[in-house]
Amino acid sequence: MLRVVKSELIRLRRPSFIVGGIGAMAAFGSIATVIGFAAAGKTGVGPGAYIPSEAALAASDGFAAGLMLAANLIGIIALSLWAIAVAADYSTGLIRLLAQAEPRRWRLLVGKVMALMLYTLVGTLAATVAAYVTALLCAPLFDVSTAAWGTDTLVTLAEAFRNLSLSAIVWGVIGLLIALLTRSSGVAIAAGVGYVVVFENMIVAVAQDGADWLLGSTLTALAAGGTPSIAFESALQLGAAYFVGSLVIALAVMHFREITY
Amino acid sequence: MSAIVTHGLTKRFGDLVAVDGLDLDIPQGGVVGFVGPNGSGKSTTIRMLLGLINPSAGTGEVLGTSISRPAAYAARVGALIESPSFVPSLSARANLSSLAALRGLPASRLAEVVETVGLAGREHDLVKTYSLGMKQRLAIAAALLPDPELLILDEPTNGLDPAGIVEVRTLLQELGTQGRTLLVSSHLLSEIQAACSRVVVVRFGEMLFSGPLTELMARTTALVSVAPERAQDLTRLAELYAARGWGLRKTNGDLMVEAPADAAPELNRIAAQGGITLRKLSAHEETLEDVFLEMTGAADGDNALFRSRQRGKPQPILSRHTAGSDKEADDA
Repeated sequence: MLRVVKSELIRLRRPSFIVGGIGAMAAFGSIATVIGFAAAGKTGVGPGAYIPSEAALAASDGFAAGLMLAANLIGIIALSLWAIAVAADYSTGLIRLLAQAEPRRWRLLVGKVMALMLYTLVGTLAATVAAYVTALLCAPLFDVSTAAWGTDTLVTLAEAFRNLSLSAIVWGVIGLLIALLTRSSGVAIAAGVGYVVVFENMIVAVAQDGADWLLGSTLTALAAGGTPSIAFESALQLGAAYFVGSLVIALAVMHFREITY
Repeated sequence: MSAIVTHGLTKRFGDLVAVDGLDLDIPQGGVVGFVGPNGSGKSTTIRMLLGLINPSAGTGEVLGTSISRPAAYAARVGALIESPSFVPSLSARANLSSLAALRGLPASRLAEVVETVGLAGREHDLVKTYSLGMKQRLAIAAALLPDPELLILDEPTNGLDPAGIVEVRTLLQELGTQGRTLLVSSHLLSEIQAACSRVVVVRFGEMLFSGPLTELMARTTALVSVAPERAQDLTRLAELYAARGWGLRKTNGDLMVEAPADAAPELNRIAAQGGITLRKLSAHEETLEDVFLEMTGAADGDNALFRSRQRGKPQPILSRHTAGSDKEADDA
């Protein structure tokens, strides 16, 4: 199994993944933090947009507020990158070489998931650090008190990193599944973004409270460490269910699908 | 022990029978050509041998192990399937490192295969900067990584320019002298003829021939190309030759008479006695391509000849046999 992980990690070193993936996650962590400070306390900014209050920014975990704002964006980046990593194997024909070298395809898939999880952890760590550094720079610029910051900085950052990572990994495995089913990163990304931006909002508008278990709501709550409508533990369980369910379907597809392309 | 054995290997995609009861027995060692027209089932057969797709029926063994357990022989087999498959934004070395890591091979192996395929010095370049010929060589390097006992190369000269074809041909000839078995699928029969000691010919998923290349080449026929000065004499000329028992084929306004070169004076004499002046009389040696086209029925006009030879039916006037060609029919 470690062979597969190592092999995948070598392929993930390509510039589009290092710069376009990890760099984009860090950039969104930073930009979202700036937006959070600039728009603090404003209301009516549009559906689905979480804007922290000034009091929230001044709280002991205020420096991590921007991450919550960026969580879905970082999730979409994770979904896209996981989808690209899978679809590229098919579009380049590399899957033929991989499956010939390692005919136990479940190993190929689980190894790829493990490598992408490691890669995602690096990306969310970069985003967490970028958000923290940006918050330190923004606080004096936007007159936000930092008196409460620093009491539990490491613990707060670690929790924010954990929550963001868990959320991004579930987003990622959804992207992997869609890309595996469609063999197209474009379709996977369009489906992921379209679902979050349009479709789930439509369902929420119709079902309202009954839609808490939906993917976007669940992962938003997971990234935020819980929301008023979904406790963190519930979000964690639902996130785990999405992860395991997606992985089981992906394993079945990988095992049974013939490589004819 | 054989390198590859199949018994009734069959693959259906819905109503389409891609491979139809294929029986193969490819001995170990040497370079074996695997030829057939497009859609003849070569790639499908190779994918079944490599465990990429499952047979609909039949059995097979690769290096003595059932093809239902490809993991048991994957480490002893290298393959290039259809086209080079790499991450273009990574260097050749990184791509090979990734595949070596997957197989659990030491990094030292990279330098060896890069050297073998003649890419030493260019392995740090990004694959997207490679020419098609270099990508093809890189793909062969990837196939060589496990130092395989069996190397399966599907269309290794696909898309290459003449210089690239010569490079790959030379490489195949070198690899063929190293004790391993090479199964090379190709459309380019001149490459098969140049590099292979044995050949397997398939058409519509069925095997038409399997054996030494020399045996296949023995089926070639010496021909004399004849053309009358006046085109309207062609049919009468054919009747004159047919009446003397010569086997005939008609191509592009010429007659191809199944006869050795030293029969040319007699052919000229027959035409003259019939009052026909020839504008062309030249010897022609059949190539592997000619034999292949006859066998696979891919050539216009001559298809019926081979099929009717196979069935032993009476021949039309333009494909009547000499005694020599009757022997071929018996062989077929």
